[in-house]
Amino acid sequence: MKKRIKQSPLYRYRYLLSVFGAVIVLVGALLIVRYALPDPPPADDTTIKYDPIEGEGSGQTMFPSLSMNEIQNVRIDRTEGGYAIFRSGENNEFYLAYEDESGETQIYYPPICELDPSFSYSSLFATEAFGEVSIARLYNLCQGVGNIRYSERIPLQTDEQTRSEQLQSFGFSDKSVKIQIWHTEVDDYGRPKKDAEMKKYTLTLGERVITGVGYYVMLDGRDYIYATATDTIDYANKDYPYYISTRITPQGLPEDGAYEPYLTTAYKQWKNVWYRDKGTVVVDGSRVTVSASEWVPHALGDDNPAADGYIKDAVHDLTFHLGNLSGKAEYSRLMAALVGQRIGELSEPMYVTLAGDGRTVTLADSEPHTYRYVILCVESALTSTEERVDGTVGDAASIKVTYDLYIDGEKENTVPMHGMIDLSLATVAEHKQALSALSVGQTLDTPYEISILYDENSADQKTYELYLTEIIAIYNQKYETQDIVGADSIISYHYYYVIDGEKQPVQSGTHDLSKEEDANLVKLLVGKKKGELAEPLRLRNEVQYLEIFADFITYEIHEIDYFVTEELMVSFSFQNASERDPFYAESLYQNTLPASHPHSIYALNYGTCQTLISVLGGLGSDTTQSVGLSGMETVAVGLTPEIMEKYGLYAYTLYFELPRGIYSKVSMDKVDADNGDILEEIEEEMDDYGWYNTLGVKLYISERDEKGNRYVATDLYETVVYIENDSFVFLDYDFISFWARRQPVMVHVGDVEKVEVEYNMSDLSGKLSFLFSHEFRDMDSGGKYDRIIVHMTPTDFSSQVLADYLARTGKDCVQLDDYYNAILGGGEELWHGADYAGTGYFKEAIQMLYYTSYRGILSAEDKQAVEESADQNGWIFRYKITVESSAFPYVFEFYRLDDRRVAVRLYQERPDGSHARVPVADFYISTYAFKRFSGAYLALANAEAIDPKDFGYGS
Amino acid sequence: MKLSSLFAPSARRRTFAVLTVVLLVLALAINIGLPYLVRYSQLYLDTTPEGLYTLTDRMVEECDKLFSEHSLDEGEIKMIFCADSDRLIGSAPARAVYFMALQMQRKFDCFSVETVNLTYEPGAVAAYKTTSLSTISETDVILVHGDTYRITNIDSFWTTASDAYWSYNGEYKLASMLLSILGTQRVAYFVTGHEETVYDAENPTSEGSLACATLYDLLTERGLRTDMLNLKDLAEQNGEIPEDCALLIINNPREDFSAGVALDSYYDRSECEIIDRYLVGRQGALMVAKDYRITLKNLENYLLEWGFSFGDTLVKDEEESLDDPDDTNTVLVGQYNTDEQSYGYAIYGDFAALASSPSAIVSDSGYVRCSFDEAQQIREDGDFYTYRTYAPFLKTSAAAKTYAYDSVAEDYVALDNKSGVLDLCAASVRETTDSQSSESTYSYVFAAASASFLSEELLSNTSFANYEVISSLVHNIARVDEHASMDLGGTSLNSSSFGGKQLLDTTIATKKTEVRDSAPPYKVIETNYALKSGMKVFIIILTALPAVAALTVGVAVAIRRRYL
Repeated sequence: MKKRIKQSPLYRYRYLLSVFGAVIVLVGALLIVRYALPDPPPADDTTIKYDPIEGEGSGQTMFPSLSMNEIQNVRIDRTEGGYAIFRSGENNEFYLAYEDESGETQIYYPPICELDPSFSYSSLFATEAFGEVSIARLYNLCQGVGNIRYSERIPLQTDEQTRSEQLQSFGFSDKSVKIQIWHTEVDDYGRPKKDAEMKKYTLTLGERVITGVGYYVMLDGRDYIYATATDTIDYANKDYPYYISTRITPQGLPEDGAYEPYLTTAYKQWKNVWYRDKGTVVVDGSRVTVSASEWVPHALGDDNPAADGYIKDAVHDLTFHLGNLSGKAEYSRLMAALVGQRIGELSEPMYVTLAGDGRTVTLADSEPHTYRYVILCVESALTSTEERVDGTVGDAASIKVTYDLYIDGEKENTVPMHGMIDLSLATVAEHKQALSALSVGQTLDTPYEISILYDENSADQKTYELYLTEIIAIYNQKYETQDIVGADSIISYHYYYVIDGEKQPVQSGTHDLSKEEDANLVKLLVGKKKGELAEPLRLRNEVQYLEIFADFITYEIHEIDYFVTEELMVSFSFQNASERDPFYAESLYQNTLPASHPHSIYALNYGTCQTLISVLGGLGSDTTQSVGLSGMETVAVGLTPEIMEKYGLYAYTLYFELPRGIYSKVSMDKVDADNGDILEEIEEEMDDYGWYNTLGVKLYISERDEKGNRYVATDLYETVVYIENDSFVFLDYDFISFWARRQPVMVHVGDVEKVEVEYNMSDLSGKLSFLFSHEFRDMDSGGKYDRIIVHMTPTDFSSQVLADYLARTGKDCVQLDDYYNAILGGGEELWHGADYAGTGYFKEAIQMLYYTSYRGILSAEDKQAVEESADQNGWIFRYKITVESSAFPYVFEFYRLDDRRVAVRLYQERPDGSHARVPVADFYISTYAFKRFSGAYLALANAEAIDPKDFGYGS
Repeated sequence: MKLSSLFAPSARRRTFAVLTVVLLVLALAINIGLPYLVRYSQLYLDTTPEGLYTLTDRMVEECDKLFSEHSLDEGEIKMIFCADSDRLIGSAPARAVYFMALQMQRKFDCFSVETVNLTYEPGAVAAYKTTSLSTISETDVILVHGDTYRITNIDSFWTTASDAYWSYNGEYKLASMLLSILGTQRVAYFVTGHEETVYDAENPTSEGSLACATLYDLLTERGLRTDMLNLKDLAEQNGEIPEDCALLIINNPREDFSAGVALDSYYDRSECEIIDRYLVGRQGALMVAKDYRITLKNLENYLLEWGFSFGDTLVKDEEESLDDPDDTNTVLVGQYNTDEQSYGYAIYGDFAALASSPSAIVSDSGYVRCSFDEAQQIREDGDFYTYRTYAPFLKTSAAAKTYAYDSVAEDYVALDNKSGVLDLCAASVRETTDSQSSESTYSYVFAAASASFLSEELLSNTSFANYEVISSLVHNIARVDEHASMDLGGTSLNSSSFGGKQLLDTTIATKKTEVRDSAPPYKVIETNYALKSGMKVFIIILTALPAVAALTVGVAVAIRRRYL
């Protein structure tokens, strides 16, 4: 029998209770887990989630994100300073363009792009550090405008009035920045797909969102205003220069690092004064900026020529550098027109025409052609100094005419042609009288005709001769180096032209002989070795035949804006050892100031020059590789007069040349200049450097601003860069205190021919002449040595020892070695160092002056005192040194200013005693130094030993 | 041996026992006394092939000649080693120097050697400290003659290359020191003739003497006699600075030098030229304190040749100046140059290195500026081997400004708002190197742009460091060093005894051998400064010989007794 168990009343709810208990356990567990885990991020209730509308990208972007490769062009239109980036070229690289002051779009393609074959356009882009790498800001712009995430999407009001107010409230107006982005599909390699459609987004930029992050932006074709979630689009608000590199000078070539990139081929520095007050008279040699338009005649065959036959541009600022034009006959009219003009608007435009190149005529192989010129009007008659538009031609040197051209009876022009006729040409000799009678400035009643049958005899000729000076490198077609030029070689070479007998500057070039059609030229070159020719080899002799008409350019000048005078402060260049003037030969750098310059006679401080070149070349302290100079920020692009004025870039001008492709020179075989036959084989390493070409950069530099920094404009990059003053502190110094070498004389004794010293003091007077002879004698160890023999001739010099010796020998001069042997050696042979005593001590005396430094600079009063004293021959000591291959001896005069200072006056002297170079007196030396080296010659006169360590005050 | 053996009936046995005792006592006595014999009686053999422990004949001749030129009393020249003799013998570099000195003492009566234990007698060499903070180490050697002395280090008697001893140059060094201390007594001359403030020894109560009393004490303490020298008179006679001059002092001149000099004369000597002949012709020293208010054209032009360009403005330093009643900021606290390589630090480094340095005060001062190039050094005119180097001595803080005198306002007004560090005083050192002997000699010019730089007020104030600093400066610039014949061992290739006694095997004499741990960080676990055993003298053998002999005898006796 089953025992019935009494059940609990809850038994019946057991399942419910089980579920309830399980729920409680589960909730408890969940609560435990919830509190055990970190808090989830709070829900962002302020962020509105938008469903994408048509055209929008995923992730709440205004349009599907564009990759860098997809973006082809970006144009930023702004009220001032719009710009664009666009892809171009074989590699589909980005290029830059900008609007100039007149609103015209200019492609940023500065001269460096053409001048430097190794140049990469992308090096023009400014970069920003991003971690350890640098990214071009340009790419940031593309990223910023091609990938715009938004946080708000605000519908535009439909009502015109309300919409306008809405747009205004979000900062949209006619002046808003517009961003146009052209994009296309690309393939796997990032290249635009063929036939892919170019699409465009146009964005308009409103105000910054009041929260401080993001901008209001509109996209053409959408009735929404977007608030961007980030500031990346802000790149579109940057000025154009923001994207341009701050580089000021170019970097050297990698291979030049193995040489010495401080071998600058030119350095020049000017201090300028800017004149802009109305009424100021323009002076010769200045840089004049005028408001003018330029006219040039249409060439025959131009498309859509203007009806009057001229190409004219708008009035704009033009700058003429009168200093560069001075002395050139072709610019004499321009010089005459500008020099003496006053700054300000001209009462009526002034016309100045400059002749251009002669127009060439091709002589047909078959029959010659007859050119008939029908002169309709003589526009102006030109002399060397004026351009006249009235009266008759008279004795004008040339005329500018309007004419029609008929060749073999066929009229060639559709609009009037213009040209200049040089009336001195033989071709027009028979017409000169008739032309002289023509009226100027009006249409001729009866056109004047000139017919010419051009052939080799009747046409004016211009000869072009091409001369080879050096073969720098020889390659085969695979660009492997070769020793000898072959018929299919590629050569790098230096050459120059002689045009009508006038030698042109040396240039460099590369030529593939396999493509050369001139067989004679190839023949001349084949078999030649690399190196410099002793005599240039003429490679080509060509003749061009010219019409009687030449091209021209006419300037219609409305206003003289301002002018800048330039004072050349410093000029120097690296000189190869074989080319140096021995007087300055101890330095790599030679002063290249013109002879008329008051500082041209001074040698330059080597350390100063080298430091400066290191700065401009961007030489690091631990490398010889030139990396160029860069500034802090690019502030403007384009070197227009307006920009020059805005940044005060007229204060200083600087020109610096960096050699490219440096190599050690070798001598080439001697060849016949005409037929190229090898006359003598030479294979000799020279102690000289060569370079393929040079890259010159002109810098325009402002005064220091309140922070002590400067603006620098660079013509190679056409930018204005803000730079710390550290790099240009040298501008604060003058030539004498900073650039001039502090040693009066440093010339190798082997180059000295004669030294004359003269004393002019109350207790010491007379003259001693030391004449050198050099005998090159064989050395036991091989080679030769320079045995210097010195003859001393006294004039009115009071030395009893010397007088006795001369009397004993019966001569009027002494051979120093013999003299010392006799007096100091008591008849025994004496030595000093590696020389006989006489020569040895003479070298010590010479070195005394070498080791003497200028101790200070003379004040204006001191200089005046020296000049006054010079007029009275008040010098106390005169030192004249004749150096081999120098045109004239250098003369040092010493004037004692006071107890401790002796002024030095220096000049070059002609044989008749006149000054070949203007005397300069800028420095003084110490009395101690003076007495030491002047006393050394006194010691020589008395055959006394000269030991520098204890020699002083004439001992 | 038993004690009873002494009383044994056998006379033979008693004799043997006594003999044994005597021998033992003798052996003990020799053992104890031999080092002293070795030390003071030169009882040792020099087994070094270089003759490191033997005076050369040339040295003896040199010293004979030198000492005969001076009538020297016994022990008048004293060579003091700052360590006990056993320590000197224990150190190979010191041993060579010490034994050389002992030989000198033995050969020359006037030469004596002392050793001082600095630990027990720290005051024994206090007189030779340059400043109160100067230190003298155990490796220092002091050569003394009367008031003149030279301190040098043991290492300076050796020439080294790459941290290894290369040759023993001690004889040349010692001879040079002897020449230097045996020179004529040195005099500090106060230049007169330009209204300078000078000490007149014949009239110590004169105004000038009272104003220079402490300066006089300082000079005397540095072993210098003082005198006056009228340069104007000297110039008129075309004379020259006396041979015994060790220091010229131009203290606050009010008139210019070289007035009226004949500019068109070659042979006439101006006052500045006379000074210059002294400075460039000998190891001269000149100390100038010039009032910035007064322009002395010729003197300033002359000092310009030494690198000093004087400003004529007053210097005020708001940050580093002492409080004064009128709050003028002109009582300047001179800033020490803390660069350990600088000239100034070499003079006052003991002070500059202190956490709380005593101040050197410069009052009512202008400034000097270096007229040399950026390197603050120039090569002397006409000579390849001589340089002049400008060295700032005391400076202002970066807050210093210059003030020019405005005659209308009758006060000094700020020139501009620029501030910067200015040199209050500086030294210029001329170093010329003899191309033959390669020895350098030095001349010094010290200049301060303050009339009160050497004043009683500043020098006598013991809370300032002025006295100590200037004392050290005088000690440095007023010394004249002579150089012995380079054939004694000069380091010139022209010397017939180049480098002295060259070690035949430089590897056997390592100055500093470091044994390092084989693993990073490669700590030094052993440093050996001693010469190797092959170089040691025979002294060890001699010292051990008696003990070995006694032991041998003992063994022989024992064997004989037992078996024979």
